[in-house]
Amino acid sequence: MRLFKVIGRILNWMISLIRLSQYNNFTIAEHFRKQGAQIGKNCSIMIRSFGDEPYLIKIGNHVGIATGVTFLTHDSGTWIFQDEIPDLQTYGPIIIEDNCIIGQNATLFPNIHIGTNSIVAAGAVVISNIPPNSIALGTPARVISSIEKFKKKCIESWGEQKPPDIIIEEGHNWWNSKNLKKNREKLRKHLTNLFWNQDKS
Amino acid sequence: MINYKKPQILSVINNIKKLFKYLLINIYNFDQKIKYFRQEGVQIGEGCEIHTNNLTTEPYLLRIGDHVFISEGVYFVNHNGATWILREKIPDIQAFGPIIVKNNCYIGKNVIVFPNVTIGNNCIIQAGSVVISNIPDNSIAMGSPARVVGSVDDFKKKCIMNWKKQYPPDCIIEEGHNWWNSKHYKANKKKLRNHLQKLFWDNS
Repeated sequence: MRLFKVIGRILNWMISLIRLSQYNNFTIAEHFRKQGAQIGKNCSIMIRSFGDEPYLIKIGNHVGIATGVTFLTHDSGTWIFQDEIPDLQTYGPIIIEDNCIIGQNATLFPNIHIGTNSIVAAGAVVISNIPPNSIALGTPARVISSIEKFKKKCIESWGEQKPPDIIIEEGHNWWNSKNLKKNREKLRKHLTNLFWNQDKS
Repeated sequence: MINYKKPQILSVINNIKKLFKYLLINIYNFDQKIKYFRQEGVQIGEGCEIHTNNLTTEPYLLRIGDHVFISEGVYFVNHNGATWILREKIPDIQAFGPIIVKNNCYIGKNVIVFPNVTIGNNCIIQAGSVVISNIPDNSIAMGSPARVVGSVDDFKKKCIMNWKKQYPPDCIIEEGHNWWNSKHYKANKKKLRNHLQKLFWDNS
């Protein structure tokens, strides 16, 4: 009997892996919508699990979620009161507004609201609300600067780092242009020249 | 310099062993995981739940009390790997330290605990924190490095307040059972879902 249980568990595991493998980062939103999550358009989601209560998560349009992000929609700290109050639990929703990005291995606690156009940096642990147009970092996460500064910095650095000879068709961007591979090679040459002063090709 | 290369056949066998271990630990439930970790030498009390796949580096240096919950991704580091930088001059230097978790604790997701740390009775370590110093009894700690941010009593009051609102009014739990081991667990979960959706999003 025990062997059957083990085999059953292996099969369950394999089936869940196969079932998830049919989705990519852009279509996985459908899978989560079936579970009850509210997700907008054009989201890129690199995780494959929304935790135990996906129906408490609301995500706007054009949100990026990197690998290893955990959504905590409950507080299991009630475990230590189990002797007195056996079924004590707490839940809370997570709301992410439009046009945000959540960095790698970030952890989102229950009852938080992340405003539009904000960045949660990698490894941050978000325990309170984050206002719109801000960058949050650290454990516990604090707002360290605004989007505008970051934007200026990025535009400046991309002016240096952009390879001069790349080709992008009109109406396309870096990632969906047909010349992505060639562009990447050009980028590699340009960046190795820029940072190490050598050409490794 | 030390030669790290092993004979190839041995490494293949090791890899197969690792793969087998990886498969097994993914399939185990928390009871079997506790059995497995006890075999490795961890001192684990009664009534614990352990959900992490990779518990410690030196199992014989870890002691866990009664009724402790350890979530996914928790990692107890029993050595200090930073001695690496001294090994050019002192080739075999290492540093170890025990970790003690006392009774009735909860350790959240992806917590890392450093050597020479004692976590007291009735503690909550919130998710994502890095514990580098001792945590006193009856406290809630979080952050990296972990600091005490509150006491358990306030948390208890808050939780009881919240649960009164969030408790689905029509769920059924038999006497002598709790939420998790009652026969109506699945039905209760559906009721909870409907109730919470009404509460937070104003639709069912």
